[in-house]
Amino acid sequence: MKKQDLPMIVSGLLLGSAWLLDAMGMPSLSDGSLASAALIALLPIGRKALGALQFRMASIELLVTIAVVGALFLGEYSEAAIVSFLFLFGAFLESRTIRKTRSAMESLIKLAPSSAVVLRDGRRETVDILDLLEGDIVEVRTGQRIPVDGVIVHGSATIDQSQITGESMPSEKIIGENVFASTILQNGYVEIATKKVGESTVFGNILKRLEEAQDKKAQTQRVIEKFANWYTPSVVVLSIVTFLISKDIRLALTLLVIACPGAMVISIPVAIVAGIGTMAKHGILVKGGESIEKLAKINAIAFDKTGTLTIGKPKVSMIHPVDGDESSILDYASIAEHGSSHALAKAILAKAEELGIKPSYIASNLDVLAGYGVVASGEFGKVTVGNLRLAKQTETEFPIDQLESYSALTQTYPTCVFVLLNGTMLGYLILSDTLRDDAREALVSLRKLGVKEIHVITGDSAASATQTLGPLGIDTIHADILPQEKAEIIQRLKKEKKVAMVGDGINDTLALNESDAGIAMSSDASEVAMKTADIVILGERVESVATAMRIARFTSSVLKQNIVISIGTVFFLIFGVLVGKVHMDTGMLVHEASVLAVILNALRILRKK
Amino acid sequence: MQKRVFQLNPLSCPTCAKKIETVLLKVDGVESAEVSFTSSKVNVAFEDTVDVTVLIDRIHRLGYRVLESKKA
Repeated sequence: MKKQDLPMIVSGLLLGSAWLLDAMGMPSLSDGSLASAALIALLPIGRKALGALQFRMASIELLVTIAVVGALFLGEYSEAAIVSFLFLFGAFLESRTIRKTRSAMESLIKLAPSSAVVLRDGRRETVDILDLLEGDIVEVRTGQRIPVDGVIVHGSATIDQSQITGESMPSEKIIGENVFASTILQNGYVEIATKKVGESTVFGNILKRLEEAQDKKAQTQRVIEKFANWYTPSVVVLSIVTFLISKDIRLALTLLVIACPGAMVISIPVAIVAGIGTMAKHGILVKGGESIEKLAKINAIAFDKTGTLTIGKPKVSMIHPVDGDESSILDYASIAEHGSSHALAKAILAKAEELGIKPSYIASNLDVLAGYGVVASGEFGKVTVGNLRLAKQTETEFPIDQLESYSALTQTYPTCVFVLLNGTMLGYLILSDTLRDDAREALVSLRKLGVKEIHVITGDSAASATQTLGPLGIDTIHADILPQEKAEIIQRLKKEKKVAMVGDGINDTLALNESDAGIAMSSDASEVAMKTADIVILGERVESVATAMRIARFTSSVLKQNIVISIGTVFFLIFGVLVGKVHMDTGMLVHEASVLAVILNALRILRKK
Repeated sequence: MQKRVFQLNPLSCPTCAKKIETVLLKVDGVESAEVSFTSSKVNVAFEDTVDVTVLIDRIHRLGYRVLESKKA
């Protein structure tokens, strides 16, 4: 219990004892108890009313104060006590439940440690994060959260980076590698040279964005706020007019009590906060209420193929032997590619490792021809690994006209790597981008959510894109598209549908901007992606697109329900008061109940998965 | 021109946010005042002639507590 809740509690106790006294047949004592209940509850209400009045502002508290004081003068002690107590009790319940709608967000903020163990002059010191300087060495042990963005200078560790990258698999980090604030050191010991602290860390940026998001008003919210601004003064005018006509001061005071637009102004922000927080829990950062509303309306989605539906890194998908077998092809290919960090080389080496093939020789001479491939020589002879252009240049026993027929092949499979040993074609490898594991399910979920059209926009050839995306059942594949044409396609789609664009956030800026809702999938929470997209998905799960949409849909429907509840209540109350069915105390009760109803309704969003 | 962020006790109604904005904007030299209902923060921008304690005092007189005041 807090000191500020004291008037509410005392007033409640007095109210209860008044009923007891009344039941025991002591009406005058009961009235005294009621009047003191009202006066005590009025203390904090009146203080706020006067506070605002100093600056010539009429607040809700002022209306309640007038109504309660008026009721006391009229000798309506019971109504005065009930109204003032309910007003405080309602505010108390509201602040407690609103805190819950913020809880998803607050649990995120707590992830960042507030202190760090720093090594200075050979001694360990625990200091506040904000007192750390760039270059300070901090130590982190098993189970602790990393307090800063920095680089490991000593030790190694397994680190769970899901908070930043969305990647659920922990990664091994060694000296020289970057680590990020808020990630968890699962096992190991590291000393980190501090680069960034607090708000300038990647995690700090995420938090800042979330905080800003909460205050970006949704379209509906602006409409409702305008309505509320207009509503309160008009009910006050209505109550004055009612008094002038009917000379019934009780009726006029009752109208003042129900003039509070509480449920209306709170109905949308609570839903939005809950929605943003719930998405954040799933690694989805949303720009604000407006973005949620836009996402909820989407009925067509365009994916930029590479890096969203596909992994974005090539893999060996087929091995075609010509004059050799699979293992000899991979053997010679890995002799030539050994140690290379080129994406294609990595893919070939990974495939060899997967099949348990280790290079049987070490090349004594390597000649890397950028854009073509690599030629390696050694005691085994000469190995050429490269694309069609390189294969054509190489003196080969392989008939050149047959080689020509591979041109057709490379139309379908743009990445074809030929492996030749001393001019003999051993065979070729086909590398292609592979689908993400969850791509298929994600598209099924999206269709279930009411997405009518799924498009893919890609720079690859139609044949190649169809080959990769075949199993997904895409409605339209836009192939051979130049980056600058992506936005034009979105523009065309927008004429008939509400279109979301899913891209990696770096090459797709224009298209993301053009779309009704831009979604960036990014594993590094880069600022670029955060600025251009309405929604940023941390990590590499396509399913998150569906999750984002599901939460947005739900948030948007809760929002609509809340508007109906709050505005419905208001009209019901005004009507009830004017026909004499609703009195001051029941009016306050119904009003407070409607405020709680919209908050509780918003809390349902937190449970959405 | 200066910018400040005040952290308040959790606000319980959006109308409180509105009140605080109105009061701060009435001070001479205050360029902008934005109260975030959800994070209970006040972002205020003002000329160097304005005394920060005056702004904090006004919020106090309205009945809200400023827990922290940071330069932004």
